[in-house]
Amino acid sequence: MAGIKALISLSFGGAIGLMFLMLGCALPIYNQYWPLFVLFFYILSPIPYCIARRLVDDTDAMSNACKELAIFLTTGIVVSAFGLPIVFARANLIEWGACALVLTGNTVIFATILGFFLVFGSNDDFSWQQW
Amino acid sequence: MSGFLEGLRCSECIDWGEKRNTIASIAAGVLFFTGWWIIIDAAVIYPRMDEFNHSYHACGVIATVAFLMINAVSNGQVRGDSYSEGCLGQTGARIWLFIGFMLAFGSLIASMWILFGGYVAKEKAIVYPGIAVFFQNAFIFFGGSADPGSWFSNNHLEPKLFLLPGDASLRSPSSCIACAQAAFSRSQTSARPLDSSEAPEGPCGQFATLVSWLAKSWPLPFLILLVS
Repeated sequence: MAGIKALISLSFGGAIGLMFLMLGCALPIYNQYWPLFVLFFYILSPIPYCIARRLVDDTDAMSNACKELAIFLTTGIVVSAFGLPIVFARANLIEWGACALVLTGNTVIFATILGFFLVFGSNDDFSWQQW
Repeated sequence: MSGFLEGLRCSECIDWGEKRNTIASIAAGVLFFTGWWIIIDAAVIYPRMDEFNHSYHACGVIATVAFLMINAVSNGQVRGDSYSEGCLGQTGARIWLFIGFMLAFGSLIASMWILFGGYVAKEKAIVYPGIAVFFQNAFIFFGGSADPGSWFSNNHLEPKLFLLPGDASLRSPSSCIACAQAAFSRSQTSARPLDSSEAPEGPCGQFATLVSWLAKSWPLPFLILLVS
């Protein structure tokens, strides 16, 4: 399969991002597991765009409006995933160092998800059978 | 806000119309949700009512409702030149947009009032909640204007979620003339105009049906209150 190298590098990126997240939680000087709530946002983030892609095809009049709504919601989820650790740090639930590690992990994970859509997303027939 | 990107268009950028919509959607999303996270931050840090009166949250909620109202209506529906009139017709779309704008401007003015009247004039030691309310509403307002689905934007032919499926495919404002020609030829050959009582297909159409039902049934809560 042509994309096997891309798949491996994307999975490496995902592993590095989750590693940063776990470092931000599990290091002995921090030892607070509040940042794990951003996993919820990681899981939610591809969903609006996937739903929009499956519901409308490109030639339909409503495709642009649905896709724009999906992009709007996805941006909101990404902003929330960045905002949550910052609010935690300002509320002194976690240290600022842990916040920085979690934000770095966020960046890597969202870059991985974006890379996943760019590399594997542009199919004419978006079906799960390609796996 | 998506208007300034018009000047950046290069001659061979065929896809720029699509990219501009995407960039404007992203900008709108960032602004809108950043506004909400600012107020969440203020509410978390100042939980006491004497530092941050939590009824000030109403300002941001009304601003969000106004944002949704403004983005539900397309420019074409208000001008009356869209191919389908949507749920409320042209006059209804104008009234909806008018109320939406009133709520948006009102919440922006209210946030300034909260900042100056509630915090600056009373010379409170902690001003941050007032600033947070103001920035939340300012970001929501500008996010609403940046959204390519909004009335402000240049995408005046962009079809909305409330138009029924089967409308003409209108993809980019740069194809205005082509669209007009296509529409003219279509109106010459079409058998009948789009019947707005047709059941729309798909979740987008069902959402439109739900909102049209809600719009028609607005006296119901008042009747319920009267009866109880």
